[in-house]
Amino acid sequence: MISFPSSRLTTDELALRDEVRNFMIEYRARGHRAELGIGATASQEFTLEIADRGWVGMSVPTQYGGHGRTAVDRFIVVEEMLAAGAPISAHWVGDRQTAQMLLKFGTEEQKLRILPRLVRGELLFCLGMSEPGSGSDLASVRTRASRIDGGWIVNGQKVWTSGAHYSDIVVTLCRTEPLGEHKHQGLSQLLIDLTSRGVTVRPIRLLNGVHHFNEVFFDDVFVPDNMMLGKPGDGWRQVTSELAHERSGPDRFLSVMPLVGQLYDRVKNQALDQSEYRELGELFAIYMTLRTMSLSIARRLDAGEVPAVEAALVKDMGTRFENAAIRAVRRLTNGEVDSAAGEFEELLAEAIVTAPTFTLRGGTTEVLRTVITRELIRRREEKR
Amino acid sequence: MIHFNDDLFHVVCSIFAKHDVAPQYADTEPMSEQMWAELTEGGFTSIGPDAGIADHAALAKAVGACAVAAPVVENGLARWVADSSDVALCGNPRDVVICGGLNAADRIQANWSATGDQSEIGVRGTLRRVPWGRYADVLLVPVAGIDALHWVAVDRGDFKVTEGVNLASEPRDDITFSITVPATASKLAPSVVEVRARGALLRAAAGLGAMEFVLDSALEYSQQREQFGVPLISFQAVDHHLVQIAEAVAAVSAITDAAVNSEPEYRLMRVAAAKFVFGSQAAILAASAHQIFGAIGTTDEHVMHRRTRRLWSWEDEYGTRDDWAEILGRQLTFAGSPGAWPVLTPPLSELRLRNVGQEVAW
Repeated sequence: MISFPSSRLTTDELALRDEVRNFMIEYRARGHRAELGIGATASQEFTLEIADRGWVGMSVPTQYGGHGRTAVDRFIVVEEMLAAGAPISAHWVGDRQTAQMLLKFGTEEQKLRILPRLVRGELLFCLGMSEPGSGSDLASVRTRASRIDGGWIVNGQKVWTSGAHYSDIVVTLCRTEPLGEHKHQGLSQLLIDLTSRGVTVRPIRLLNGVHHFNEVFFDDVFVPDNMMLGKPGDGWRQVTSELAHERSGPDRFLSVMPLVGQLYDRVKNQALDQSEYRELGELFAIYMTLRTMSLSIARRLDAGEVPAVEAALVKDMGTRFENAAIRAVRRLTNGEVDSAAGEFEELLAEAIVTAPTFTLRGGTTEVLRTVITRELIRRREEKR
Repeated sequence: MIHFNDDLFHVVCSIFAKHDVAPQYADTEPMSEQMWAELTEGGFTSIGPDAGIADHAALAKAVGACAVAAPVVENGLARWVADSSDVALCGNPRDVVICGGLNAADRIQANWSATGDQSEIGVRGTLRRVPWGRYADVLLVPVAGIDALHWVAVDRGDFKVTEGVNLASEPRDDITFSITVPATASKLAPSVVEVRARGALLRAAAGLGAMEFVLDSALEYSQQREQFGVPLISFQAVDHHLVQIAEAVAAVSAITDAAVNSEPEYRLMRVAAAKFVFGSQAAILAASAHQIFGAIGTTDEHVMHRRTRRLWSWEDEYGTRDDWAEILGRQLTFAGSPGAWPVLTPPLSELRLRNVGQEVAW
């Protein structure tokens, strides 16, 4: 009922891996500090540099300016970057979600106009999903878009919008028809230019003072027709269609890998005791397991399958494991955390205080588990 | 993409199903001689040197899924050892062959000068908790030679058994023996470490079969059983248990599959990961499943105990979760390592010196 067929990387895939791995060694040698996963400090400079190497929007077909690569190729690039602590946030949303969504639902004109700039790293995206009254219950959004001649007028408010302060476009889920009997109907996604008149972005600081989240206000914002993603009313299907991509990626278990890697480099030359080897062995075993799961899903996406349950399991297990990995690092270092003592301590401090976001972002553990159970029951009935 | 040999799994499960017994407690689970005869007839007790680890893993998974009381896995392991070295098994395919010397507490002593001319070796051994030892027609034991390891066959008449069981009432017997064997040179034979690793992987595969059974039963029961007028599945607290069970299955399935289908030179590190993950996840799954089934699941007339008692036993056999975590930690942490991430994602040339791969064909 649940399966994760394993696979090995091909010679070409291994060559790509080595290329990215070596690039990251060189990049870090330039003095850039390691970053933790998708909460990384944004650096469009980095995005432009790797876009130049063909590592942004990799799976976009060549006719839209992309590189026509596979989901596994993207998996390889992303896992190498996350493991090395690359600042991947600037292009993250565009690379993981928006490109896929445009390819699947966008008009030909939108693909030709937007995708080449996304692939070049010039156009950055963020997601306008949650609202003050809509967290896990996303379909209850109240931001409204009303039809006018040539486009839409948007009013409402979004919250927890990561990266709205440096992005160019906010992909905004809004209601284009009044709430009827079925709340999943009448929703649409608009690509809203953040420089439009009537858009206000205000920072929400994280518990360690870092500016990552924002509130985004829409006050009579005009959005032209050609910025409606696909068909009006298709929003819910669009939002839920990419969940297998969104949930199964290496970002769900590699956020603190740079921290674990630095700890490892500190201890690898020492003789450790039995409990320390055990602690490390446990971490290794689970990293190996989650990695084989995530790679398995990437292969199945390339084969045209949508392994939804498996993807949800990776997110739940991966994000909870990240928290367990931080505990393991703390046991192995065993002392007060002085964030001023160096890069490792700084990363450890950041990991500890931002860890609660891992099991919240992109859908909470609790909601995810309800979805998984329902899906397992459905699968079981289908099989009988 | 490759996977377990699913066809073989289904064929063997259908044989096992014919011999299914009502769940009840026994101090020692009886082995069905009739089923063994049927398995022998079908060729499943000696699947031969052409069968690979994917085939053996499929047999093991079927054993766990059907909670079969028979040494299918252990006999397969020992026959692979015989096929991979030059031990001649003169008996018939119905013979039960079992490996000793895999338990850390086992002691085997070879006396090379027993007869003075070194044409014969005296071998004495004390073996702990040999699986299905009392049923063994032939016991294979590792004997350290001067330049190589020899696997030596000990016939039923030459060893003494003290009977014991594991938590699932499967035979785990202490054995002593003292024999004299001809000192013949051995071709490349699997090391004790390697055989133990293969045993560990097959335990994880068998455990996966039992875990998948538990997941399916727990889903079914949560839909059917009603309390407060609604099915159990309506309670989020129950959903959390179901997801823990599903995640245990997912993790063990993924890493076991990765070990089975591994490049030979990195197989042992994946086996270590698989046995650790199996050991830790089996315990989580068993606890959550029993919570879902409530009091009835703790009785001897319920199907659950024939799986969960096996899981609690198998978690420790061929090395505990802690043993394997330590082995993996030691394999992958070393001076000169290029870093944590590279060692976790082979191929990597530095790992070749870390004994993370198999020596003979699996």
